[in-house]
Amino acid sequence: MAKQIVRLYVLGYTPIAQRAIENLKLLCQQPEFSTVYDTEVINLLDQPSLAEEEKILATPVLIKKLPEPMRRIIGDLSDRERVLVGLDIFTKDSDIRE
Amino acid sequence: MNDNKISTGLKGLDTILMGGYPAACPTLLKGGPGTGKTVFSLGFAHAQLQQGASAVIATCDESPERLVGYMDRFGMAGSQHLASGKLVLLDFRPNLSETVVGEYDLSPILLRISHAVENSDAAILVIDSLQNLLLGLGVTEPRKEILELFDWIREKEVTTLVTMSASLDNQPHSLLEEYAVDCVIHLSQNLDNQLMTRYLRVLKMRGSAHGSNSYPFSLNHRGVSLLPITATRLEDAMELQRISTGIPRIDSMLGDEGYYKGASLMISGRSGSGKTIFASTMLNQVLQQGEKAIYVSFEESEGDLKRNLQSVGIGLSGYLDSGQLLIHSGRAIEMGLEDHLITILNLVENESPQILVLDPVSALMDMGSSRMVKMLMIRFISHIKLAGTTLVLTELLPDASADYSDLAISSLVDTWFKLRQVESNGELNRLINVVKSRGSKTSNQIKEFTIGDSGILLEDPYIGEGEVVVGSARITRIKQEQEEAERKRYELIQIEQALSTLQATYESKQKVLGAEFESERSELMRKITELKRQAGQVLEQRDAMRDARE
Repeated sequence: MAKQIVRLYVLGYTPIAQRAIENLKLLCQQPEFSTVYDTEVINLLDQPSLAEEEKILATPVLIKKLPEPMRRIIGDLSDRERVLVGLDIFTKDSDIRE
Repeated sequence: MNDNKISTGLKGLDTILMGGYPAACPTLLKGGPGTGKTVFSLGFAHAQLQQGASAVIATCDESPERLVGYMDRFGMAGSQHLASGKLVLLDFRPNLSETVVGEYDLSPILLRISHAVENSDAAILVIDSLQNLLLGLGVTEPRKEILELFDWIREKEVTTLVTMSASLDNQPHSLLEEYAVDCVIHLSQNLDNQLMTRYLRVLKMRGSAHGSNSYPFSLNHRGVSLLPITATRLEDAMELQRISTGIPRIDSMLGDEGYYKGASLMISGRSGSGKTIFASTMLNQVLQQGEKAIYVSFEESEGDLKRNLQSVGIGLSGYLDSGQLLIHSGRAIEMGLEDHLITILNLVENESPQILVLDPVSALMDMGSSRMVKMLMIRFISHIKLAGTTLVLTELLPDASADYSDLAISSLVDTWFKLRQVESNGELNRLINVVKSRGSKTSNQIKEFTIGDSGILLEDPYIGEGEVVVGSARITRIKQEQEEAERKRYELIQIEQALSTLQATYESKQKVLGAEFESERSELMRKITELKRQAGQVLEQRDAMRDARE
């Protein structure tokens, strides 16, 4: 099965944006995530019309379109667990905890 | 038009703001839910689009499709402008399914706005509403991104209208007001007697004078209408043309010529005193001259009015069909006083009739405190006057009022008629008098009138024995006088007859007396002659005797 793409939109490489990119990289080391998704970082300064298209009001924002439902996570993604929950991915750790 | 102001698209508001919203800087439009913020901002955008400029609207609570729908419905050609690319709609509705994890900033707002403004070369920007944008993002403090946005607006000199809810009046908003914007307009709605009235007030405007009162405004299918007090300056043009009331004797009560065109007239009277017929007669007269007229009725429906007036010889159907006459019927309680007056003003503005009848204006008077009502009526009458339309108001006097007007607007009208019904001899008689009429030689007389098949008819006044007598008493009086005269005439004839009888008697007696005199005289004359003859014979005999003795 082809992997879906999760896009991280940033507006310039601000400290918050850089933190978000770092956190995304860490996320990719999680097998639960990396087996399903590929990631892409887009700087809105390069493509301002994408901000309009995606109706982005705050950055950084991580947008997962497929599989449905669409998920959007705003912020520097510093809480990995919450990011995964937000993307409907449940790690073994969280399953055990619950 | 002021160079550093941009028209708001609303005539009244332009007057209050002395030109429009301040150009090249942000204006904040504050108001609770339902006060019309969106309509104001759409009107602003529309005004610019009409002039060929571009406008960017960032919508934060309604979908772009709905906004375009509103514009279409208000006659602002939203879809058309959208298709031509002049109107750019930014969907800033917060996505509530978003999860927030960690820190973030709101720089995309500025990115998207600046991108859209620069691409479309827009003259104006509307953000509706900032409140929802911030709340949707869970922002409760003033964010530096928002202040940056305002700085950017100033730097790029984009005339901007930002709307914001006034319901949550906490710190971030007052900071916005004090720091970020150049002009703050507050919209509110009040509930008086269970009727809602909308008000607009300008809180601040940097570097410019502005109207400072609370102005009532109305929101209807045509958008926003305002009644600014500034339009009540006493500068209406002088009008010398006189118009007939349609009742010659009333015209002569007004110095022989009727009322001045564009005057405001009031007809006061109790229930059933003939106010409607009176006003309609004047209306009919204007219609007969081929001019336009509007009749606003708060009591009768169009059909009832037509039928009732037909019965007194005033036929309106033809004028209604030709569009020369417009009848606007509605119950007073349908909407607030301001809404009523603004609706009527809009009608007058669209139709520019020569005469406007409000029947009865007193129906509007219960709709607020008397001071407020008077204030609004001053504005209203001034507006109508500026439009050059003759205003005819009827005032229903309560039965307990002893015929005194409790409407404090009599000083505002130019001509004031009073209709009365006077009870005497078991009947009610109708009287009319002119209380005042500016610029006319006013009759001081009270006249009696009747209402018949052909409308209002003024009777000859009966003034006898030092008092005015009306109704059947008048007729009785006239009858009595006629009888009196008849009797006198009869008596005269009798005396004349007696005189001629006397004359005849005298003449006949004279004849008899003459005849008697004549016969008596001839008898006496005969006796004289006889005696003279006898005396002669005696003397002859004595002479003959003496001769014989000798």
